[in-house]
Amino acid sequence: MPASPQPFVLSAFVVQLLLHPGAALSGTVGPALKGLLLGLGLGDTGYNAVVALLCFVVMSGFVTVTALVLTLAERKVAAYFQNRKGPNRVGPWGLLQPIADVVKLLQKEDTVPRAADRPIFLLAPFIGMIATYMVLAVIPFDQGLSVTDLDLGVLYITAVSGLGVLSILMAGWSSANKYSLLGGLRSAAQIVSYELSPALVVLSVVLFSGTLSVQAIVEKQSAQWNLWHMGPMGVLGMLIYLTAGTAEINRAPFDLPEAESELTAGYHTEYSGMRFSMFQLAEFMNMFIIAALTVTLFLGGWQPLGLLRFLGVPGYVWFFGKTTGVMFVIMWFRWTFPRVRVDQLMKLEWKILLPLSFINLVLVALWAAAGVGK
Amino acid sequence: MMNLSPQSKDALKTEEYWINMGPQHPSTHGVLRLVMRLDGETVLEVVPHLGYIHRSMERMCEWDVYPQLVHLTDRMDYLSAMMTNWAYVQVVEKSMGLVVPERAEYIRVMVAELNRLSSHAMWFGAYCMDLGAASAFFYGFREREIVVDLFETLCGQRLTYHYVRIGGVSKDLTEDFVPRVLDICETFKRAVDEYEALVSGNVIFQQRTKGIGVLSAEKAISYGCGGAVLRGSGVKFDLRKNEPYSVYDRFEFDVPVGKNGDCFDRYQVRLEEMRQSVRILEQAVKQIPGGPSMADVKAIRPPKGEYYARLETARGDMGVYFVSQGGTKPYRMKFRSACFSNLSCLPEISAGWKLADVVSILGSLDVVIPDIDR
Amino acid sequence: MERQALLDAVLALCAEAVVDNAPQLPEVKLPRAKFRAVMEHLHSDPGLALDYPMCMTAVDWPEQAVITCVYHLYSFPHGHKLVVKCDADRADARMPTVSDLWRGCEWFEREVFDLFGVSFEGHPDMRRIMLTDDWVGFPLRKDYRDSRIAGKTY
Repeated sequence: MPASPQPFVLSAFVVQLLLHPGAALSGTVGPALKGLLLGLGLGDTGYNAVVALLCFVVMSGFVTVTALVLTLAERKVAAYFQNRKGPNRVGPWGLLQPIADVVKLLQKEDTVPRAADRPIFLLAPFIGMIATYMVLAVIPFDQGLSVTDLDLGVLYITAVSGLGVLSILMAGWSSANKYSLLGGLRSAAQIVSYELSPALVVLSVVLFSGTLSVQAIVEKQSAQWNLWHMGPMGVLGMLIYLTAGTAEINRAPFDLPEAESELTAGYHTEYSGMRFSMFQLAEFMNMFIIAALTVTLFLGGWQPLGLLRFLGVPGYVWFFGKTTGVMFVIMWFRWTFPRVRVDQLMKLEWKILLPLSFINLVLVALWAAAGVGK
Repeated sequence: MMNLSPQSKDALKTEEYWINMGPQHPSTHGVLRLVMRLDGETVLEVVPHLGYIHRSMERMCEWDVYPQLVHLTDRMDYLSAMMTNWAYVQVVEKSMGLVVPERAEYIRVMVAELNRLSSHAMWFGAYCMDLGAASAFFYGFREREIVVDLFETLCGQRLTYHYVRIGGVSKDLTEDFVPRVLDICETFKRAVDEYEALVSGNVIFQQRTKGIGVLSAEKAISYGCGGAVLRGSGVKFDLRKNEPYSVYDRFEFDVPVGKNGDCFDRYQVRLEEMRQSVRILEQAVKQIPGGPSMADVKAIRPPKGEYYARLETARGDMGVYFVSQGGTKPYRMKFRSACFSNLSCLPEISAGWKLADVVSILGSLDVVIPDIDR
Repeated sequence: MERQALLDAVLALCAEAVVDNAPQLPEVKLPRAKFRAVMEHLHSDPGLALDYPMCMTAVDWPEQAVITCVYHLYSFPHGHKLVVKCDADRADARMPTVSDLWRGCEWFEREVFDLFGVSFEGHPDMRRIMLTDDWVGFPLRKDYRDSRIAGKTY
């Protein structure tokens, strides 16, 4: 960065913010903020704290807006699959429906069962959200546009995504309800099993790209997306990742914890109002995260497609477009397939997906060793 | 497999527990309470508790004159109300030797087959929704709506028709009836193909239905099952073919039969029955003669004696038995409901399966609880 | 099998049976002592093979002080039907069960017990099926009165 401050031209800054937000934030906004804060006498720790707080606020805003939009999107997508229209009364095309939902949830009574283990009961929804935020922090939305870029990004994601299980177990256990416990245990077994195949598939991508940093994996897909650059293993890997990812987030044909509502109501039975909505928020954000990770690992993240780069469309538009596409596919799964049974679910993971992902890993290793992708 | 030493076996002692699938639950079968004894996921015993919608219809029949009782039969198996009306009306006519005009017979056949189509469409939707494929529910209802609209034009009612009366039918056909029936035939031909394409070939659906809840032919006969439950177990028996009543002997249609007696076979049999109903409708529309739609009936006084007649409703073998003392009111009226016998095999065929399978088996038996409880 | 032949076969099994070929379906009235034995024959005899319980119910005849249990049976191999009747005393209504022969009769007999008060000996699960377990009285009997039923006469 040049030492002397550049003259600040607003229009040029806005254009840069729209087209290359990563560069704008780190090149212009970052140094300006740093100068301001250091000028106020905050020191480095203070600066880091303020930046972290700002990032948290922005992420919260993003999470809230995305989750709200997703609730409406899910209902509209489901409706159109089912030959009907979905919410279209509250606002044009039902656009204000999420607001109505939020208002409804806010004014509900906050009940805590008397026999419940109170601290764990109250803490459970937030642990789920914490896990979500932590994974969201390393996903690159554009070149240089992520909350943080760790050198061990992929390892971090694999480690942290396991925290979500904790929230479910806590909710199931502390509810003092036989059915919640069953639902929670079953869900935990499902999520823990389905951590393995995605981890192996991600490992294969890492092997191919030669780096653990998420941003670097995307950057290496500038010429070709991993989906075809990795040959047939790219397709296989993405399919395994998408399937196992859908199972990890308790969705689609693997929504046994929700389907318990035929009989019981799952781990979030005893939650009402905003606490319940935290679980729902976490579920929708997890769907976003799985889609975002699929896009990042296989579909080129924010990279444009081949010759279409010359259209000049910003990276984050590509990223959100692809993520939306993958989320639509995940929603498509839910409204098309029947549910699998618990033992069929486990069989799918341990007897089919896990061996396939091992084979995938070995093949990718051979593919990479043969010099492809250098 | 773990090798459990005697000490660790004690440490892993498991308990059976009872679970209640209460009278209110999300499946659309009605108010049925199933109490199940489970060992982990496996169902050891199912105890159905009936009577939540017992309205003492058989007692009510001793208080009213014969024509007044037709409306009671609507409210038993309300999804095939036309056929339930007909089952009652048929036995009274037989007892008196009453001759129903030929046109009325053809009308009865047509509305019965239309009712069968709408009932099976609804069953299809409900069954797929029980298994998790929620979208199929709307497809089934989309087709059912067309039939129900036609019935509304015909007799003013959408569910409890009270159309088939003693001596004929209450109103003659409207002018647009025949063209609409032909439209319905075309729609249902496409619809059943669509259902097969969407659901029957789906791996998850097949895993949830094939080999599940096997009912052997001897057991099906011993339990008194009828309809698709009996035919799914391989017994080629359809009252319309084996003991033809009304004008059914003038139509050409096949009787679909299953092989293994599992849920998938019962499902296939019902889909095929829909196709055969369409065949019957197309022939009936061509053959229907003119003439009166109601016989000239004065007082309904069946001669002293006991009478029994049965009919093939959408659910199975419905029989009506009554004892007449020569008066205008029956001395004893018994409705032998198809669902009562069909459900009685549930405890035996669902023992040993998983919890999710009980839902699948119950759906495949296609029971309407008001028919069981009367 | 022809109706008369069917009735003759039953008469051969039990001489005290009262047969009637006149009604809509051939009827047989069995004495209670021989009831169970004859029913077993009706079920297992390959010439009769009445394996399908079409209907099973009861009719209350207070003037004769009996509750008649009526069994409508059908044979899948042969296609013939038979109506079997057996009287139970109104005062002490007991009948032998046939739920091990025709599994469908398990619930039919429970219903008759529930609504008429006829208890079936040897039934695996003799308890009410429609009404609540603590219901008093048997509603389908002709002398059942309930203060909640207004204005209905017989």
